[in-house]
Amino acid sequence: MMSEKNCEQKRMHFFHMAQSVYRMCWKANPPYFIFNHAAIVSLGLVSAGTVVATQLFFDSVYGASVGANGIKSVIFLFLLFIITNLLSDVLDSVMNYSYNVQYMRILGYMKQEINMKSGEIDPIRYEDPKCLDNMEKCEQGAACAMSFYVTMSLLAVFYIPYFIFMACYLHHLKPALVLCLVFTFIPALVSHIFRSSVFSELEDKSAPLRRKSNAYYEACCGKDYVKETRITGSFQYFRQLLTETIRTQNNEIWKAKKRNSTIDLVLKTVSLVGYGGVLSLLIRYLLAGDISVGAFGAVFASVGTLFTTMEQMICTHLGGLSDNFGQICNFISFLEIPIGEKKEFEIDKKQPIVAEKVNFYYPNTKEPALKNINLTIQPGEILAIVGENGAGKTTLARLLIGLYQPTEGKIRIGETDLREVSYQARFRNVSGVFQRYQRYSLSLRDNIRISDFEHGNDEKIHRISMENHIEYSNKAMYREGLDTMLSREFDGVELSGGQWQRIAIARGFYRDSEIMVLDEPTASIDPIEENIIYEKFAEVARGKTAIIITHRMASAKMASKIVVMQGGKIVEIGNHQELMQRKGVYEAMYTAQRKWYQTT
Amino acid sequence: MKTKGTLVLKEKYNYFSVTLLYIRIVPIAASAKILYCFLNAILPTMTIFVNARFLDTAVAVTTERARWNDVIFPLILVVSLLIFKHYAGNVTSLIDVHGKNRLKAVLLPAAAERRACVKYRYYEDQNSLDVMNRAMEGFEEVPQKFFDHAFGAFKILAEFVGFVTVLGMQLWWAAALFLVTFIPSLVISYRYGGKTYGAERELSKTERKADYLFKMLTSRDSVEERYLFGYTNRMNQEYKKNYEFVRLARKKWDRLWWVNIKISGIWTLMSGILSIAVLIPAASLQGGAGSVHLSIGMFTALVNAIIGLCMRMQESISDCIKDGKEKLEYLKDLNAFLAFETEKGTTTLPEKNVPDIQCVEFRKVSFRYPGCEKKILRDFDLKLTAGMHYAFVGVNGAGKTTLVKLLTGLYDNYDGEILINGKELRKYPLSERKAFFAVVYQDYCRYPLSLYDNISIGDMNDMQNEEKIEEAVERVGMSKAVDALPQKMKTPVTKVEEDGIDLSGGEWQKIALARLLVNPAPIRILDEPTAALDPVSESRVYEEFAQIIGCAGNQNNMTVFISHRLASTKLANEIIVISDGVVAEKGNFEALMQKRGIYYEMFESQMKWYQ
Repeated sequence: MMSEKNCEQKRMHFFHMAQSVYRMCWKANPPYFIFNHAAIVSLGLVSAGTVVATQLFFDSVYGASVGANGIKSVIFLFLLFIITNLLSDVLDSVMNYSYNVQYMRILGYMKQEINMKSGEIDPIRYEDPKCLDNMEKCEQGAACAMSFYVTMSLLAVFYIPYFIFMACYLHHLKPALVLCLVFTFIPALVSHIFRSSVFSELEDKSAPLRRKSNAYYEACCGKDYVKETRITGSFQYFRQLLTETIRTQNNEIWKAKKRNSTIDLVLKTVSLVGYGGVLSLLIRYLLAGDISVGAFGAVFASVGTLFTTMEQMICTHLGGLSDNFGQICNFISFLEIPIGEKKEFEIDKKQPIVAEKVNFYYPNTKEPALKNINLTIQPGEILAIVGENGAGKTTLARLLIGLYQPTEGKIRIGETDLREVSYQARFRNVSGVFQRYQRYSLSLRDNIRISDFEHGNDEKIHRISMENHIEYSNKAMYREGLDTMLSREFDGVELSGGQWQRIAIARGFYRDSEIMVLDEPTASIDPIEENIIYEKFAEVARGKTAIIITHRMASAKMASKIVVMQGGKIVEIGNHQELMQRKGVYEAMYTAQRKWYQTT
Repeated sequence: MKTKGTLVLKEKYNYFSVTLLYIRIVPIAASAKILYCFLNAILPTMTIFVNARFLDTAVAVTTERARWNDVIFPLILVVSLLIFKHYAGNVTSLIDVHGKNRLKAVLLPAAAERRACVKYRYYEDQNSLDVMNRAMEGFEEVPQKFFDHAFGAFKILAEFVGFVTVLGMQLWWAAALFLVTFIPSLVISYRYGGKTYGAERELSKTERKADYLFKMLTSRDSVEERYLFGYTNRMNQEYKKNYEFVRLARKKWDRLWWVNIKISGIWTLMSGILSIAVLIPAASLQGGAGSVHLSIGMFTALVNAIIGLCMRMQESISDCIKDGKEKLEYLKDLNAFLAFETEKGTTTLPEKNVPDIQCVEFRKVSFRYPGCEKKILRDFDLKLTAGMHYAFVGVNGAGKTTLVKLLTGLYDNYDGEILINGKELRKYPLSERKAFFAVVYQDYCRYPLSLYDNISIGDMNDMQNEEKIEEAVERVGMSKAVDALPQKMKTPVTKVEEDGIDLSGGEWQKIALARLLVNPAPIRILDEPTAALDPVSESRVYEEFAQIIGCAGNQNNMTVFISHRLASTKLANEIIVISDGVVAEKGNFEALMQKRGIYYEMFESQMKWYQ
């Protein structure tokens, strides 16, 4: 059953990955895509041209000095020399600039794709730590995909043509000079392979140490710790831990660095010998008169560039590429999670909600969170779900409104199996207030109307605000009325927990609904406030199908049907009187709680 | 430097003192880097001579003006320069790592200490917190960055001077021409190098907004509402709007910046090309025709050097200036943070000798949070005596938690007096104050330590007392759970350690309570550590707490429970109802119920569901 929710990362074919990334980059902005590649190609051509122009220029100057050619050709070739140099300089900048522009553009596009996907996938994925972890890494994955794209483009239209050209040029001068390329290529590659293996080893070792030292630093002086660290006087203790961790960490870094340096030393010696070999070859050709003085000068100058370019290509670009592979793979897989064909049609929510033999497992768990649930909620009925922490109350409510799908059995509204319809269809005319209600850093208006920007108006918002005691005309609290920004971070106001709670409720009430869920808020409310909420809820829920989740047996009294849950199972169903008479679980819990409120 | 790792940060830093900090902490690495920098600066100049000599000799050999052996010495020179260039980078990066490690070992603890010493109010003020984070984030690398910047600038200058000198030695007017034509590009670089976009503040706010929306659309936290309310599409549009606004504004600015930097760059290149132009006649005219003759080797070397230098200059100058301006900006944050008021004794241990407690008295205490208009306490009067168990109740924002903050010394700018055993609180040294109080906060800490240490941290003066810790574990009813853990008491209980395990909220609560139990302090405060629980479970927890601590009857102790929920308050000897910053009602449960005041109303509102 859970196979489609498997979050194990699949190995992805390289071409598939490249194809997906390129498709996105193209879609994000076709003109730039073309422009950027054109710029890179021209840069490659011009860079190669510069080498030739330099050689010809030197040759002509030398020729003039020994009287072999006139000053005219010197001037002409000097001009060519100027033009190629200027052109390559300008093109380099154009490429960098257009790359920056394109980078931001595509990244924005990719993040929008992530946003959309995050609202389409099966919400149960968010309960699987592995899936969640992968999802959280998508943002980085997008950035990695971007650098993958850049690297591949550079390789394909810049580096490879550049090296091919250089190979041809050197071959043309003297076939043996092609050895230059070999001498630059091999040490750079070997050194990179070694280095990245040492570093990934170091990373494996130092990641936990870094996590620790960060944690100790936080314990010393982080905002969340400072109060308690002060009163217990434990600062010095944590500083000691911090110092020790840094020392261990430094040892590891130093060891890895030393190893790397040794490898580097050896390989640099190899490439140095190669360099020396190329030089002596050059001298021999020059002395033998096989190549011109200009060619000698130009090659002599460009061998250095060849070395750096090669190192750049292998270490910076190719190196980064393989490090990012996993990340990109994760990102692409996320975007490719199948959504499935879901029907898009109106369901009449004024029909009974029926759960049939429902079993439900959270991902990667062996114990079911819900066991054999059979339940019918009639339209217009108020259902209360009670039970202890962890009894499965919230899970059941999530299934009943169709946020999660049962592992076995089905949930239907009327005759429609919720599994077969889209989320939009499931949630039309359904509203709720959740325990984990959100505190959006948006304006007060948007906080209330977030479920529907199109149809509402300020009149409705006003009415609902008043009903929920959100006095937004109080300028001392809501500086700009409905437009007040609700968060310090964006220069808005800061609200108390109670005020946020009222807004969350207003948000739930604002949405037109036939079915309403209220998951009991536990924190941040004082008793008087709490009372207001319940009374309000009872009033609004009238005529609707309502599901109330509560820890407080007493508040279940207003329900027409009470479901008592224990360990994922429904143990009792009935109304308050019936359950009290039965003298079962409900009655026991009720009495236990009542004792706190007896005045004698 | 005094003893190892005890660097104390100064009150104020400028560019040079930060750079000096690097030299002071890692003198050897610093001198090696200075030497390298110096060598590196003269390297391009030397390269010109060496390459010129090599080329000339090689050419001479071809024209049979020199012998084959003559080329060997210049070749050795060329190769040795190469060797230096090749290996020096290796050595310096090794030195760099050494320097970085040492800096981290010295500066991170120093930064932690400084942060830990500032007055608590800065931690509750978002702006101050931002300044502190900006100043201290990556602080351990700051001196090195300043040092590198300073010597990077030096290198550019030295290279430039070296080149102009060599050019001047060959052909003085070429050097003069280069200098004169170069100046304007320097001016442009300087003007645009460090210029930042004027509305950067506004932009970064929009950018944060986009980041926020991204989080809202992708996080687990908002899943329920996101699906139910179906706002993904709409909010994604909003995201796009914010993101694109920032992107386009930056793009516009970037373009301006690029164009200007490019103009200056091309200018630099042109002035280089101009100097090459004047070199051509000297090189191409046949020997002896002019007054100055340039050998083909020198000409080639100079041309390569000019092009190389111009390419490097156009980037490094503007980068260096930009970087320098950013560094000065950073110094503002650093100095602002260093100017924060500090407090003596914040990092010390509590006094070893447990003080006696007779009474705690608030006399006309008034207090408002910095930057707030409203007084959270108004002429607050209250006397608490030892041997009692108190409950503070009141609606959210009534001032309950503020009282704890004042008592524990987190804020000391109150009016009026708080007397402990008749002596003003502020007159006690902090170490003594710490010895008076054991507190379980609403957001008690989940330290990245083992279970044992998470508890023993309650009594810093007696951490090794295993018997006491075990007893506390027993009393909070965790013994069985501890036995089931892989490493028993030594099991790490956060995910910071790789073999760490996750504990449930309930288990953490027990740890927090055990931490309180091992603490010998005579005044015990529970500041709603149960806020995340439902009211019924909370009542149960408080009942258990009361039993375990055995609050009433002990003449040397005093217990204060803070809650906005009422059931638990029935256990207290005295209930203190706080409303609008004053004591509104006071008395035991029966008395308050009879009074029919605030407490009665609150209790009633919960009670009526059960009738």
